[in-house]
Amino acid sequence: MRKPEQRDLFPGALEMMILRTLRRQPLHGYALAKHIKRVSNDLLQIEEGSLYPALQRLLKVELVKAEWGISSTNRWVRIYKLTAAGSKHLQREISRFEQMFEGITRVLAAIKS
Amino acid sequence: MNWFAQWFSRRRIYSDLSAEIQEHLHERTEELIAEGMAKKDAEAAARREFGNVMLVAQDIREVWRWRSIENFAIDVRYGLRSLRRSPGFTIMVVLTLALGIGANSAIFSVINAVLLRPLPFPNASQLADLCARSTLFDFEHLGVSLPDIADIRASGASFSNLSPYQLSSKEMSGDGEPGRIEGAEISEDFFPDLGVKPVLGRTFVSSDMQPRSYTVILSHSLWRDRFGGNANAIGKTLRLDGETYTAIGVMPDLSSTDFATDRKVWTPFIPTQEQLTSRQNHDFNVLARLKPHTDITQAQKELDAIASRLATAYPGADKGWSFRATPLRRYLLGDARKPLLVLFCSVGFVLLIACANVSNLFLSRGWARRREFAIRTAIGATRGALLRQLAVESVLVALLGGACAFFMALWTVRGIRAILPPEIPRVQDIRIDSEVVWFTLGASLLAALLSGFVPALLSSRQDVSVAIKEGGRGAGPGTGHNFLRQMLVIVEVALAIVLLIGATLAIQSFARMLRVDPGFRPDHLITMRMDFPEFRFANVEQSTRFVREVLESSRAIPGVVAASAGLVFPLGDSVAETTFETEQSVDDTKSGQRMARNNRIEPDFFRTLGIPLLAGRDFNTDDRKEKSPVFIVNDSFARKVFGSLDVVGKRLSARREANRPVWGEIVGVVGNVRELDPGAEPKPEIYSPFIQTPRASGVFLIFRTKPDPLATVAAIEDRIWTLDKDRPVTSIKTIEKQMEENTGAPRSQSVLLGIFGGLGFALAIVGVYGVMSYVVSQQTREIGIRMALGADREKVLRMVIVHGLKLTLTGVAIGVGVSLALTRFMRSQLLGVSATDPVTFGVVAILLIVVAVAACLIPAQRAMRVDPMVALRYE
Repeated sequence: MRKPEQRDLFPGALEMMILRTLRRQPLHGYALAKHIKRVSNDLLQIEEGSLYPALQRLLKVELVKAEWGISSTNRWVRIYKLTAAGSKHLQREISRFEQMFEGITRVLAAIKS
Repeated sequence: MNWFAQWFSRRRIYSDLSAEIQEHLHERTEELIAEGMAKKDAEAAARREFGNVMLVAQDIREVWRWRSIENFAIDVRYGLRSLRRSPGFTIMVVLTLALGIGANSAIFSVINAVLLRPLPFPNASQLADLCARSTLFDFEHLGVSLPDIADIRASGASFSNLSPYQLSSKEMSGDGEPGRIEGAEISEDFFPDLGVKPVLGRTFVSSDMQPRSYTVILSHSLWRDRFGGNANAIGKTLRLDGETYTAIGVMPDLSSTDFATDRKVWTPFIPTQEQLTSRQNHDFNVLARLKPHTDITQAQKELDAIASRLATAYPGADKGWSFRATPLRRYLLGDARKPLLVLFCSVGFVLLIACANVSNLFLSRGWARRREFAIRTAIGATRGALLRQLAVESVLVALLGGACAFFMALWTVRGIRAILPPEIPRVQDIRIDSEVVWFTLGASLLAALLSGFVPALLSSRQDVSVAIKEGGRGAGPGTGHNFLRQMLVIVEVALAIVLLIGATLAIQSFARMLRVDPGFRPDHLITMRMDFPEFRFANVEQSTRFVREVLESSRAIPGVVAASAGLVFPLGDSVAETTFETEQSVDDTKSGQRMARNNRIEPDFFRTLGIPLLAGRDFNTDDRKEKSPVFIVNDSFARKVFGSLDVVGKRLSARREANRPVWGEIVGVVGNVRELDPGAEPKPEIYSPFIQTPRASGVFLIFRTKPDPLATVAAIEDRIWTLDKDRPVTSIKTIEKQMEENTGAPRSQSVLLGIFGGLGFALAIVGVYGVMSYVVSQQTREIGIRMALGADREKVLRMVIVHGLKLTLTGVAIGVGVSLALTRFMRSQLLGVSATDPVTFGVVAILLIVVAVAACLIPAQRAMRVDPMVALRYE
């Protein structure tokens, strides 16, 4: 039995970041990984490999779609795009996350004071 | 994406992914090289950053995979492989289960056809048979009189309709040998009530129900045979009982309904004025349809109320009578239900024994595989995974067993159909159909659960560190194992006892039946029926004259030793009864009318059958119509009614005229004729000369022959047709054949119960042997130590046998207890033997104990031969 892997993120966070990134522009896996790392200033320690299962989960429920094509770096890669359902899902998730985050912040603030 | 497309697109997904991941690693590597890293280092760094490729691939697969199914497929593959590795075990288990399940499937095919398959009528649950019973008569099912039917119809709220009908047979004349065909006289509601529509033409309407309308509805088979299945049969004519009938309709094929619907022709039921008004005329069967949402108990309550009302209103006719409504299905089943349920129960027990055996095999196998399980646990398998694996294996063998069982059932169903007596309704419909397949599947899964569940629980409970050590020295199977094994032996023995006792009781009952002395010589006798339709024989003189001509001319046939005739004949399908009075009983108002068996016969009846004349004389041609009545009574009648055999000359009345007894004289006493019921007392019987009784609708001719009686049939028929070329002769049967039919049901019951009892017994003994062998093999070390310390061989032998005996005795005790509770359900099928016959119980118990001890002997001897040195060195 494999131990459940140590996660720094809460479940669903990686997917949310992928969707948010893809909303700006379609990207292939490597570019996606690089973008998330760069934007987060390497604050979030993401194993690049973990991106792919997340992408597959999103593909399976059709929140993203994928096509083979030529990347900006001139490579034959699979480029992921946000679907309409994915865009809607992202919106919902962001507002849910903001609510949650606000709640957590308030509780933490109350404890401090 | 549905799972199907998913399944097939998955290969592509995986190859896409590996290309994609390769590409990712390349891109990163090139970037790092561009940053000035050496190629080797860059590749390593890219991999490190990416993480564990294998793990990622597995995570991705889990995203797509239909997990449980795939794990299941793996388990199945693994299970099949592990079963193939131990063919001995697999064959043993599959065969055992196949026997158990096969017996169940075969009997279920019977239960399904006879008990479960619905009647071919819409809303058949609302159909019922209505009959009458009397405290006076010994019959379960008597007809209802038309005025009573009218009263029930008028005041009964439970029935939407009551439709009287009568079974009849008609003479069909025309071309070829004269024949009788089975018919029924039905009212116009009969088929509409059943909900059956004709395939051609129409059923009866009110204009058909007029005297001299002569319309007829044809059965599917008659239409096919006589009219070539032609649509123009409607309007064609048929000669029945000397009248010309016009065909108005053809019914669908109802031949397997065993009811008034499986007749050849239906004619309108047109009651006479006498029938319409007489409450004593209990001649009519009634098909009742209950109103929707009315159940049979409600209807019965209402009938009871009506019966008591009628008894008060018409004490002369209706006193002592009651009505009974029976659901049509149960009415048609008759006595067939209980024996079938007993059979089903017994095959169920066989399956349980088979499961117990298989359970034991699984236990041994689980123990033998403990290192395999321990290793699997050590490398990460959960207990759930082991359980699933074991469950899959037991389901696999059960399904294999079920498949074999299915073919066994296919193969035996014809044999079973042949063994079952033909009177069982719908016996010709027994076949292996989809319901039997489902049943077999269900029985297999149940067997898998029963035999595999507990062993799987026990085998999957593993202590890794103990089991993985070489041989698990010192640690025998846990207490759970031993306890379960002992329980299995006890259960098997108990079930085998129940099966054997049931089978032995049935066989004894059958054997006693065969030993009954019927009171006459049944060999070399042949009977045949001749009917006296009204259009040809208006009174008893005419029919008697014709019978005497036939008998006279037949006696001249070489080989015919004696000939006579009677309204009924001993051991025949029908009996007749009459009320009677003696001079004492007439004075004694309380005793009132009494009943006795009654036969109306021609002279020479007793000599022909071989019934001894104990006193007085036989009837002769001098006992004429106009003379005062004469009677012959049997031994039982003389003793019961008069208290002595000295009754010749005493006066007796079997009939009233103008409410006064018509007295006659007893002229002879004959021996008793018994039914094939070893427990029953011979019934009191009165014989009258045929000529001195009212007109009868037919008679049985009886011939005693020197050669095989069937060889004379053609000659006899020839004589009859010389006298009347249109006189059909039906029901030609030897008495021996008739006896065979009478014993058909108990014969098949005892054959089948015997087979299943033997099967259960054999399986149980194999089981006891298996468990004891295993126990001995587990105790080899212990035995070795005992012997090394000086125990003698005899003591070792005794130890093993006592162990087996204890278990067997416990099983026997439980089995006897269960049998005492269960065999009473067989009581109605057991003749001349008590359902709790102590001899049977004792003999079966002793037999089982002896054989079980013998089964322990082989392993015990093996234990005796244990060489202490060997036993202690290995283990």
